[in-house]
Amino acid sequence: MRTGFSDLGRFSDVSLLILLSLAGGDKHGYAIIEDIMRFSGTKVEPGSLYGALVRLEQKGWIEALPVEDRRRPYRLTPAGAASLRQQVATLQQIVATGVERLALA
Amino acid sequence: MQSQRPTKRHQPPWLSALARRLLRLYPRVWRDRYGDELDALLDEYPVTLWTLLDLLLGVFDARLHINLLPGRLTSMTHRIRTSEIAIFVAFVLFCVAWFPLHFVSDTPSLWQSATQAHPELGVALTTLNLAGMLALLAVLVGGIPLLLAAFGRAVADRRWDVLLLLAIPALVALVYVGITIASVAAFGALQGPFPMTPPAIRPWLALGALVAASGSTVALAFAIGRSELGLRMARFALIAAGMATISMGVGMLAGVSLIALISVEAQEQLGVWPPIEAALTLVLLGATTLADLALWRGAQAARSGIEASSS
Repeated sequence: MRTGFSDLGRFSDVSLLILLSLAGGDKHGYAIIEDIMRFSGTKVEPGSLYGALVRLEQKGWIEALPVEDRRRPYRLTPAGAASLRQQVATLQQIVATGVERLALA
Repeated sequence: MQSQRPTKRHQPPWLSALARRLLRLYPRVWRDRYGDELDALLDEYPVTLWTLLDLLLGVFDARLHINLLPGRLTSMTHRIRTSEIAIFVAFVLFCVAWFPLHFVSDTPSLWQSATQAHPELGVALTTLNLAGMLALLAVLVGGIPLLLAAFGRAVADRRWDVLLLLAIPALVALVYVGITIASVAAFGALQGPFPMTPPAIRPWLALGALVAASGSTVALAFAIGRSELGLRMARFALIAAGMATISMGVGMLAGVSLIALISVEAQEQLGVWPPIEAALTLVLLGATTLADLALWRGAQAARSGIEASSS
């Protein structure tokens, strides 16, 4: 994969989920956790969430917005959206291959 | 990641309290940036034992990857400050070698006869003393504003831990002076109008001074390390730290020359036990190497900070 997700190490899965969540709109930490739980059934713990947020912010894939009542919302940047698109395309290829090889279609 | 989650109302209160205690283990610059929002998240989040483990892993990750923080200026300030602390520690190490060498001229008759025969000994000692004094001046010029700023910030933020650390050198000095006065009163003899410490306890007092200086250094280093100070102040202190490093470099050359000259030209009059000479040489070299590396790291960070602030 050349999307830069591999640089994220153990945070790559969480990062993908965060980007997908933010693709649906700006959210603060707890709202991201709730949203990820809703669309994937995965519970992201706060330590992992912030480990990934730090990296995504450092890569310029998300940006922090002004604090609202101690909560800071995050927004997907155009660079983050491009990386997410590329990663989703890669996953689509993987899914298509899996469907074909397992004769699920 | 897990696929099950408890609800907040089933959460034992101690788990939440423990999670907040774990937040304190994150680096200060990290907490300054993310601490409030993570704390707010924990108000709503159902904390489990798994959450505590995940936060603990997060602490290790944050400490190992402090350079990932997006606030580059904050990160730069932190790196500059740690470099300054390292240079301060290097200066104290330098003093550990400088003071014994300074006292090589303690017996005037021996020193005069040695320098008459070998004037280069006098030049080396004078250079070492001048370089040491300049380094001390630079450390004071750079360090006092840092300490005052750290003190002001600690008072404003009610940081009792930092205030206690800042008070340690004064407390240690009081205890040391008290012990010295008591020992002079108990065992001392008059030399002219002044009471003198008896020779038997001088090595213990010297050792005590070394321990007190080391303890005070560590306390001040921790106090400054735990204080959030501005980039402008950090850069100013770095200039002074650079002057101290250069002076220590000159002092190291003079000190090593002095040790070599004594062992070659005046071993009988002024020489000390060779392992001590070797140890002093190593301490001088170690101190200046530490200061050089710290200055290089601090200068790199300051340059990055300038680039970041101008971009």
